[in-house]
Amino acid sequence: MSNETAPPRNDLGPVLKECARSLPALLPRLSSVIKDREDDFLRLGTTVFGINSQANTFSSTATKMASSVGEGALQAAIAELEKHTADARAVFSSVSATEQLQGMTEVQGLIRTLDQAMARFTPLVRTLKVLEITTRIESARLGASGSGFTTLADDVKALGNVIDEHTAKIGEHSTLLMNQVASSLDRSRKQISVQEKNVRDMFAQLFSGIAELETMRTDSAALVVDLAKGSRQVTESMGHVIASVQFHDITRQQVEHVEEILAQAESEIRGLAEDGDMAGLGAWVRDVLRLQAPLLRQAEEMFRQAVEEFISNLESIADNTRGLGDRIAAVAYSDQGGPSVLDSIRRQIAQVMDAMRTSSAHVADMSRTMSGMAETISTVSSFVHGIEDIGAEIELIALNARVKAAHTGDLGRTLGVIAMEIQNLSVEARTRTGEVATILNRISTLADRLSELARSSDVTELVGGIQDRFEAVLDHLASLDAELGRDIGHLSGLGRELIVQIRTLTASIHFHEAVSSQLQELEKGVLELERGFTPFGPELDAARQPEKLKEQLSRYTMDSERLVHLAVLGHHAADDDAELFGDDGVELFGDDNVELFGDDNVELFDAPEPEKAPREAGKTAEPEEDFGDNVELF
Amino acid sequence: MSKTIMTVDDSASVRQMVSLTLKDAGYSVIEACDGKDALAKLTGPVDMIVTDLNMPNMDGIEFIRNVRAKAQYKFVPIVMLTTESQADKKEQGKAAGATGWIVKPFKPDQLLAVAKKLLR
Repeated sequence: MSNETAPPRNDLGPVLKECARSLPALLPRLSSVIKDREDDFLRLGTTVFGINSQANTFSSTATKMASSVGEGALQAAIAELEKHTADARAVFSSVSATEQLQGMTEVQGLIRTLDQAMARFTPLVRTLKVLEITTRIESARLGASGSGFTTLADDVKALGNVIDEHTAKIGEHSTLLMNQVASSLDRSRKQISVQEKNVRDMFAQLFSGIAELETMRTDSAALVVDLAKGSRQVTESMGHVIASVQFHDITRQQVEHVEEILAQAESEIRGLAEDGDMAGLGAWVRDVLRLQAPLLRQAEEMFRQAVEEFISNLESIADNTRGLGDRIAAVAYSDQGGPSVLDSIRRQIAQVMDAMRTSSAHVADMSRTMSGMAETISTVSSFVHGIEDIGAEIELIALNARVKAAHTGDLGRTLGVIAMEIQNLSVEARTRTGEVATILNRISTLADRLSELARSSDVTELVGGIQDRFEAVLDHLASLDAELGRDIGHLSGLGRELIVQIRTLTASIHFHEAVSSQLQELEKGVLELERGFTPFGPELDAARQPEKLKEQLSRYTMDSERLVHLAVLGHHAADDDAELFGDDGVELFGDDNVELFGDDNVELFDAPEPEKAPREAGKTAEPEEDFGDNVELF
Repeated sequence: MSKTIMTVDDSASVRQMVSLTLKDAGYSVIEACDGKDALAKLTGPVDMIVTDLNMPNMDGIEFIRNVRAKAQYKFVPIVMLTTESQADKKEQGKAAGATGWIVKPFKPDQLLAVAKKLLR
């Protein structure tokens, strides 16, 4: 009975010896498999931070662009351009010649009235001639007593000639005036037609260009939002990349722990006394070997996955960057080829300015026409002035005629009738000249008003000011556009460099395959040794060393190691420690490992000290900070 | 003048990650490969220390005790950066004078957020 339960000392001995013989060959390989790759990781680290720096520049450039094209300077400049355009349109509309046209049409009407008034002098002159002839006949009939009437006839004749002469001159100038007005009116009508079309077409084009500019700005704003989002994803991926690099240290430690326990196993086998507990040692060595194989497998998987994730995250950054580059190319102003929208707007504004200058020149021309009219009116007025006293002169002649008729007595009664007629003419002459003077006054007043209107509509100086403001805002827009173009070019360049750097780096990483292969070989070696214990299973199970295994469990530094230990050997090996891992389990460092540490979790220093007071005073008002599940501040 | 942070770790690659992360954010960094090396380099002003737990020559807990024994560094924030995540180890670290605990691997944003909080 005792022989059946005794440890199979003689058979287990060779198995343990084989372990002691093989482990020294495994241990150096374990020691070097990860540790020797440190230089590879350091090189990766240096390159990764070069890429990270590029990614940060990419991100900051995108952020700067976002503020520029979002609601920043570009939007303000476009709004300013729109305002200047609206102002220009208002000024342009103000120089409309409609009022001048109406004024000149009115002048035309007055000139016609003047012509009609002048025509009414003709019967008056005719009557004067008849009176002259009648006077001469009567003078001849009276003979010597009527000789004084010849002078009277001469006066009447002279008066008729004066009226003839002046009305002819007034008529000539009236025609001249009419021609001036008609010509100006014709030009104005054409100008108004062109101007209205210009106002419609040019400003429509200009506003359309500005709208296009704004559309491009909003497209750019959408782009930079994408860029900022993309660059945040890049930064996040870089975080994973940098975390992956640290798996060199993590897996190194895990393999070191394997190395340590196997070295201990070798040492204990070699130190086993002749009468030592071979079964107990065998059970412990078997359990140790059984545990190390999955730990090595886990280390291999962690290492390989870390490098693969490193490569995958970098490639995701490259893909992301390439996608953003494509978006940039689709939206960028500078990459569109052909004339830019700003160039078109600049040309349209130049056309508007030309049109405004043409209008202004036309207004100046109208002003000159008005001045010419004023001169003509002045001349006409002087002629009117020449006949203004005709009424008084006729009246004097009539008085003279009455006196002479009275001297002549009954013989001069006929002359009295003539004198009466002359008197009547004087009244008519006064009426006619009064009418002409009134008409000329009205024409003169109207010409003055039109002249003033023309002067006030001269926008030559305004056009200069408007153009200056347009130039300033266009220069500003061009500068912002150029800056945006440079930033976009810079971003494209950074993106291209990033992609090349990443592709070059990821294509050069192969060491993880060798490490993986070596760890798998080591795992096989450990499994091979463990298989030597298979025939002794029941005996070794009976001789297990829970205390030693528990002690080993306490030596692990990582939850991942503890999980493997418990999964392989079960909780029975460390019943007291099982509570370490509650129902919440242990989360490794995936994306879900974020935990909020509120202010209650933060304890800075045990004893109050002067430096602490302000920080704690402000602490109650601080929002909770999310550092992640793997971070805790005491 | 930039703040100075000391990183203590026997892994050169971890020191490199910590150092480059902090330098990129504008901090000055002093590197040490274990607690003993760190104590030797702790001669001037240091605003924060990030240290590993398990290191040869002098581990993180002993290092913290030594740092806290120095009047000049009594209140300097010390954050442990380690693969260790057991509660009792954290308690040991806290008892020794650690200000915070980060389980490896860290992401740059996490380390920078902790530095920002502790150094403001």
